[in-house]
Amino acid sequence: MNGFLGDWIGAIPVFAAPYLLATTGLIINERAGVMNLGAEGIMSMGAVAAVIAMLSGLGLPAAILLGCVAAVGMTLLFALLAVVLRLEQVLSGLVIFAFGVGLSGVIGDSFANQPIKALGPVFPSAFAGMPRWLAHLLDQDPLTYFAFILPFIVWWVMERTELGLRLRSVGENAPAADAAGVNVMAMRIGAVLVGGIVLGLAGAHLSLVGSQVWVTGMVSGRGWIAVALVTFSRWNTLRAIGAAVLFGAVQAVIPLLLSSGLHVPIYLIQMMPYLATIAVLAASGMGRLRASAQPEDLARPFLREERR
Amino acid sequence: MTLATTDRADKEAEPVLPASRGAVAVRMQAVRKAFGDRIALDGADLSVAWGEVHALLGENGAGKSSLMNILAGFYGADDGLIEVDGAPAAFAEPKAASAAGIGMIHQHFKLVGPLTVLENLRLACGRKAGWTSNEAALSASQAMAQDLGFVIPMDVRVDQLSVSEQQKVEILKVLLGGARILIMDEPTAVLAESEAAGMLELARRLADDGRAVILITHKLRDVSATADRVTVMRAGKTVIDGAPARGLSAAELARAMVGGETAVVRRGNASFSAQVVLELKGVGTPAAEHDVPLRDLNLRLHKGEILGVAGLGGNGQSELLETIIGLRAPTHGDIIMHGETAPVQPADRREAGLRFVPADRFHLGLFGSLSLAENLAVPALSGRRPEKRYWVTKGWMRGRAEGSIRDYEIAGGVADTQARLLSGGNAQKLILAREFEGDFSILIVHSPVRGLDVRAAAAVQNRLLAAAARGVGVLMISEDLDEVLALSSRVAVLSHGRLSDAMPIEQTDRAELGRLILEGH
Repeated sequence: MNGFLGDWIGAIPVFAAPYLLATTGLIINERAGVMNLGAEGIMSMGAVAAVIAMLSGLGLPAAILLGCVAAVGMTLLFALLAVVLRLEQVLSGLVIFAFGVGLSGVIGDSFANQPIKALGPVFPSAFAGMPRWLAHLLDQDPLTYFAFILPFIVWWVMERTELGLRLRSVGENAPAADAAGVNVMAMRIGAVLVGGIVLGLAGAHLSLVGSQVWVTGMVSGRGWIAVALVTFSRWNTLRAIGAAVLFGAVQAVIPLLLSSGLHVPIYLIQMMPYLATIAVLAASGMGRLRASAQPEDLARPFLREERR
Repeated sequence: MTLATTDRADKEAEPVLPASRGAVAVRMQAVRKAFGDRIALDGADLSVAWGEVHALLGENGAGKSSLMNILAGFYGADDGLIEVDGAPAAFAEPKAASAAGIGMIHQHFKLVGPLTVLENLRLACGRKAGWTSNEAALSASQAMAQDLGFVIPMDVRVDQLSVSEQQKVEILKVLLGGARILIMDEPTAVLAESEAAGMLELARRLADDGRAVILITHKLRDVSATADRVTVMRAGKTVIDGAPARGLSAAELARAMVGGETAVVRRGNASFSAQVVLELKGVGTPAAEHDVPLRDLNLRLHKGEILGVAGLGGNGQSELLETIIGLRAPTHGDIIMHGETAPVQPADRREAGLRFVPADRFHLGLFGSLSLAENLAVPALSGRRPEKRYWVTKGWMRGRAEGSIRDYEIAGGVADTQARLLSGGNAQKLILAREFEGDFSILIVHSPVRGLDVRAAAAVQNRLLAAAARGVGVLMISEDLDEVLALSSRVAVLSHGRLSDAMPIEQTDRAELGRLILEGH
């Protein structure tokens, strides 16, 4: 299992982790009834802030932290627009997308294309005795490990705790949650901010682990793909693991195909994640006839005295 | 008695009831509330004692629900005095009202559909009741359900329960939360006759335990059956303030409610043409989740008759309406309009003279966020008639709308008002105004007066009778047997998706109909 297949499998976790983090963050948002289309912009801010911290000599923990802080800053703006001021959530998300991508380009301009020290594996020698592909698969950096642990934590909180119950109730029927004594606005802002932290981690993973450099526009649609993956995983973080691994696999095969000397146009190969997104959404659409898992109050602002 | 109810976590869900039965539980004085420029409450008063069932009576839009939403913390009052147990109590949010022992069972239930019964109960009162585990929540909930005589599966999603079961979940929710003051917003409106009687008995029992029960209603029968005292509201003001219910006749209450003349409904005409306008021959629909399949259903609707379809809700009523108007394709059988096979598309059936009034006014009827004028214009724009318009001006729509608003006495809105802001009765009038436009020969109505007050109901029923008198065949699907008997020329019973043979109204016997409704045929 070495050679092409081994290389492929071993590379999947690193490519899957940003998708998984972003999808998990968005699921937290959407289960509380907030649709955040600004993911791409928020991830860009996370990615660029982490690189700036590294290039300023702050060290890896500080870089991850700063990535999250930058993402939360963008998310606060989104929460203000979408939750507090109750603007159209789609529009608020698009504003954050455009603003985040643009702002990351501006502040990252003088830090672009400068390689940084990568976030390395946690247990560099622990997998020495294993076959190479397996060692490659298991030997990961802390952010990637965290990406694969977080969905289980989020699932447990959602399905097994009082907090999760309250959060889901806000997303399914905000007036009923309000009547039951849940502070709808606080719950939604909280969910958006926690989701923002996770989106920041997704961005930081892209620049610290994936590319190890900041390039303007490097998130390149992964935030949008994550929005689609939320639907594909039917708002369940455990299903999101499968979805992210699928997309990680598609993404991981690209450099391998490019270096294998296969005579296929490079653009066709690079198009694969986006084609996969269309395929996956079509599959979700065909499954629509089954009970939809979409939260019923998704993207519907809540105001107590408003008649609905 | 203080407002604090926080330290009861260790106790069972047994509410702390006041010793002083008859003392004032709730006092509201000169309460005012406006939504934008619409005045909902204009100096309303209410005083409720412990241990009584207090009926709050009024027409649609009289302000009953607004007043109670203020008491329960959903709306803030603009002005006025509110006291609970003698202490000032203007609640900023539902949570605060609930902590003070006020529980409201809304007309439109506040339940989270995709969650299970137990999850809904945990959500609403898990913290207050101090449940530390799922097991604790389950046993406390089951104990309370048993005590009240409810049979409710705790692990089923709420949106899969019937309406009356959902109502019971709401009651459980409120009582488990330790409510001492219960507000029931038209609890009998959604229930069949036998269930309604049970609900009123429960209200009585809860009051006898020492709680204060406020029963919002516009059914005079509920008042005479259950209430100790009654407060009547009209146009945002209190017109009768806590008078003993026994001292007031139904006529006096009705007069107080509507102010002046009371509404009268003429009796339906027994003679009608032999000409059949709509016929269903052996129609069946597929069995699907949440649906009641229609089974070999036969029906002949004559020109000029009102054919009543009686039965308890959830026996195929919506499916019947949707099949006739073309939203559901039957798996077998024929639908024949005017002697010809009915076209497949709903729009073509409409062209062929079919109109309908659905039970849920905003689901299949109105566009809530469109204006009255736009709602009225939609069928005129989508038709396939030669006068179809391609250019629409606001002035044209408004001009048409103003006539309809006047003719149908639609109150609470002008041509530009969003339809969702209308009260139930006015929304129904808006649908009638739209559906009655132009020529039509077949009218399907489902629960046409559900949730409407006396006067609005009479207005709607008189429209139906007038349509029948003009030669329209009216199929009236209703869960209210009194209504069916009052208006219909013939009556059939729908039960488990099967329809009994229609019989002339003068040959029917109430007891026999009741048996058919309950046991099927």
